[in-house]
Amino acid sequence: MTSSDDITLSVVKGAGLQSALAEIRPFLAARDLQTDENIDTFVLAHTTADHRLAGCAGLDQNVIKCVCTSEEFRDAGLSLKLATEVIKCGLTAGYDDLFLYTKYSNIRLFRGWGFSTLVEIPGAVAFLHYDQAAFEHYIEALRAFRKEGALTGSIVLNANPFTNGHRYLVEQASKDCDIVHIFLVKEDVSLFSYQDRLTLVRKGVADLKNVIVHEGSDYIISHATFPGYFLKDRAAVNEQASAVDALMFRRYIAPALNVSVRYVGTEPLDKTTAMYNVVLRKFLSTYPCDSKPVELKELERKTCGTAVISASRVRELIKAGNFEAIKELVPPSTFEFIRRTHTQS
Amino acid sequence: MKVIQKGMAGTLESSDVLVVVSPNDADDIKLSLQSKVEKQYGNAIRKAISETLAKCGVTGAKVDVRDQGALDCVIRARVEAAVYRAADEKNVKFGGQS
Repeated sequence: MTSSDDITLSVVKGAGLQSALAEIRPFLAARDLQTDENIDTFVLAHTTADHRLAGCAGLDQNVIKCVCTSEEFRDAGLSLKLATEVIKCGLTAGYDDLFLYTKYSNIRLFRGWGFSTLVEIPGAVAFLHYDQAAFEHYIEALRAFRKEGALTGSIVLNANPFTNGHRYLVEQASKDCDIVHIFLVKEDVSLFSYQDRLTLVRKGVADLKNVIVHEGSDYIISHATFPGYFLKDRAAVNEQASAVDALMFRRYIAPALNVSVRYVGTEPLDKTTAMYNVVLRKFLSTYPCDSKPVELKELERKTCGTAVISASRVRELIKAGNFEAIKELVPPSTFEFIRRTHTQS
Repeated sequence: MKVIQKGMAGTLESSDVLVVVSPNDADDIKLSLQSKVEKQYGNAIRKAISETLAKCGVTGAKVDVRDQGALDCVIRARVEAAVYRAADEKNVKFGGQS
């Protein structure tokens, strides 16, 4: 029998990736797996004697993908060698927690890697992560903001940047509820940096005393929980992918804070968000799950003239240098920031 | 030794243990342990970990241990190696020899 001692591991990233893919693609394709184009690091296992590819595991930032071993090594502990290396790569790169999606039927394999299940959709997909202790710590920290018996609402914002539309949504929630928790999407892939977005949201809601602004995390609309959110060009967003994010909110975040209502704006413009609202409603409330349902309130978007106010409109106007038009769409604090950071030549 | 970065040692392979030591804002040890033999040896494993940390003079750290049935001496060696790496200490004296 082939032993995993006859295996040599290597890590490829950056410039070496392209040539390695020539070998990886057919290896995965032969086992009915697609090669994910976003993978930045691959751990490869080759046979030491004749340098055949025996297994691989990829990393797309903090998400492990494309894990596969060749049939002859499946009982030889190769999977755990790959696991060790890919986990070390992820943790060394500075990520606090690592994630992976897998078919429901493969959960056991990854539990053997030390991963725990966060959410699962029976028969379909499971979402697992490595550091359960870090996650429990995060949820525990949220619990400090919990108010028993208070009608609690929540809003998740990217706010790129914070507009009068966001302000309207927060104001309505603030009127309806005793307390409102805002979460800011942490991923730094927007025109405005995470820190700038956070500052503008805090300034923009500072007068609303029952509103608490939380920092974002890996566990709420992130690259890990909702990769599709950050790929605006993809017309068809995978329903399962956005279901995971909705279930994360319902199972962990909402119970920690006692949230019973989540607010979103209607979405006439953006396909990703429109689809997200439909899936969000289903998985927050009607989908059978052992956690209490969270009601989704979809508020009609605030308009300015005939068009809805949107952050993407503001970004277009910044590009066009039309500051007068921006003034009508954003609160003074956001406007001041845009004027200050985008007018110097 | 002072933990200033993430330090790792070991593997997830059978009879080994993967130890990750990382900085902790508070001055205490936050240990999380997963072990195949938690029921039988959980306390002995915790003791091996905390004794090794104490011997290395580590008072503030997050310590994540994934045990796949490692022997006591393996656990101690892996914890010690992870601490050296987490402290970026190149002057290694394994087993506390001087």
